[in-house]
Amino acid sequence: MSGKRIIKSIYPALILVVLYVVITTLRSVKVLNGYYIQVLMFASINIIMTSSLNLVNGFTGQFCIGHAGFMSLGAYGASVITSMVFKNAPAGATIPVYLLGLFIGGCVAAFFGLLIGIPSLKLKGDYLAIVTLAFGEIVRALLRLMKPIGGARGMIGIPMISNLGWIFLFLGIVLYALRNLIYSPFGRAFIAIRDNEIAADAMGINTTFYKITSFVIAAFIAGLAGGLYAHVVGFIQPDSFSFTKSSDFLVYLYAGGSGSLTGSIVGATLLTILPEILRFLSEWRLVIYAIILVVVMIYRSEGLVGGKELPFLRITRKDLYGGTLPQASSAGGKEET
Amino acid sequence: MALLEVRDLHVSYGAIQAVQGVSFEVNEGEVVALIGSNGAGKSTILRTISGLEKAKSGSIRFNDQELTKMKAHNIVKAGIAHVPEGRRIFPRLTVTENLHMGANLQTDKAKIASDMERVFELFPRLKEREKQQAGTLSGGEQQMLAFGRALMTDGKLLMMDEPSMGLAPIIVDEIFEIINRINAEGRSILLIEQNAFLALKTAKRAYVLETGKITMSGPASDLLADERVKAAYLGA
Repeated sequence: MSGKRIIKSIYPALILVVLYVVITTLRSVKVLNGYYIQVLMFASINIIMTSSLNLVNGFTGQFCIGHAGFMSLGAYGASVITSMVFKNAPAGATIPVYLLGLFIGGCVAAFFGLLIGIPSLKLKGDYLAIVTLAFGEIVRALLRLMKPIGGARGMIGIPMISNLGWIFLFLGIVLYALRNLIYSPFGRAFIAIRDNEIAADAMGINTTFYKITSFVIAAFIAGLAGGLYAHVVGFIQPDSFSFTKSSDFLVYLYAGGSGSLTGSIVGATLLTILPEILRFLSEWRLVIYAIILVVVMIYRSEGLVGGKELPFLRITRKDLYGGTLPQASSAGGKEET
Repeated sequence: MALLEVRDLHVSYGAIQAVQGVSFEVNEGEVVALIGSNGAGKSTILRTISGLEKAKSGSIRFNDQELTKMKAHNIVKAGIAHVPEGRRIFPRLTVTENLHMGANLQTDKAKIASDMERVFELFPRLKEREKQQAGTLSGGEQQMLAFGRALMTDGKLLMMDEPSMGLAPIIVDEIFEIINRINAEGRSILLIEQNAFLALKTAKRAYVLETGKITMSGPASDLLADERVKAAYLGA
């Protein structure tokens, strides 16, 4: 591996570290207050949610509109571990218990991802969307009925362990993992299924396996995001993860540009921060927010980023094979208009 | 023994019987054509062989393996490459990436690279456009890509569904010339075509399919001379 490629592969981590240092410095000199930090944490969690949804909707071409359901399973899974099972853990064990909780939350969500992945084999488009919508609502309804974990009133007193550092760490890991997955030869199968499922079948791609895999991975990541979220706010209730929440992630995804990780980052960041910036408009805030969305979708129907990818969020063939494959001839890349 | 042997195949879509007891075979090294008008069941037969549709009854044997219960991706593994109707390429992947998808069951990188060289040699136009997104190719180029991609699977039997559809005559000639070349290198080909004249000129043997049943079969040259075939399919 050449030095240039090593730099390229750790580039995203570097950016996050620099960003983290800048933000904490600004915080310590009181330029940023706790409110800004919280908005940034929510933006980061939303990026994690949106990019995982992107794997299913944007890259594999399925249509999930109940993504908040997975988030709530992760939030509850993690919170049960940290604030019930290991409630009286010694102070030194807080972080391991927190990490275990996040992992368990992800696994619970992944298990349900597997269940919801199965109908995706039979159903397409709108029909699959309805099933995933119903799934999100079923999860919410069931959580409301579960008295030991708070029922409709929700869970309180969840330790507020998630800070910007943890969230940035997981954001970095998730983006790195998704990039390596999607732009690998393995991941190209997801894109092939989105582009043309019949051709993918005819090429010997096990479409069943890939579709379920995309749901399971996306659900795990969404569960992780749910766990992070629960430990930011310290309080969760089933209604925090309603269809409205799912639709937020869909909006971030499509406004940013589906089928592009850069799009998820841009969409989730801008649209999390925008309503906060518009707060001075008070009641008009959501109207203006909605108008901005409509304008974006009219003028950039492919999303703000529109299928493009920042260089360090895309792996090229050269990175994978070290440039051993035939290179483009001089006539290559000619555009047909 | 035949490479591909289809016996008494029945396929239906709900109440509609698309294929009603079709039997035929493809021997090693042959080009076999299935001709017939729209809705005769030609595509359905190919799709069933590929595992994209389920057979209601009957058997499909390939290289001594029964295919009717196998999943599509395993059938590709068994050695059948399918160029589906309407050039189903992956529009947002590049030409090279599309070809790589064809080789996704192969592990030998050197073999993949040499297969790709071979495809570029057969279709120099694809080489010129290797980094372009496949969706930006012209119709003829997309057909070439679908063809090349199927060659990357390294199947012993290549099934082609309407390769001439919607293409300019000069491109059609080019595609059929390559079919002949590939066949000469030892690949068996099962071809379905509405353009019966072209199909019969390329194939060694042919079957005529009418509303889900085979009504005539024989050496392609005989069918080409047959009065009934002439009247029904050749417009003579």
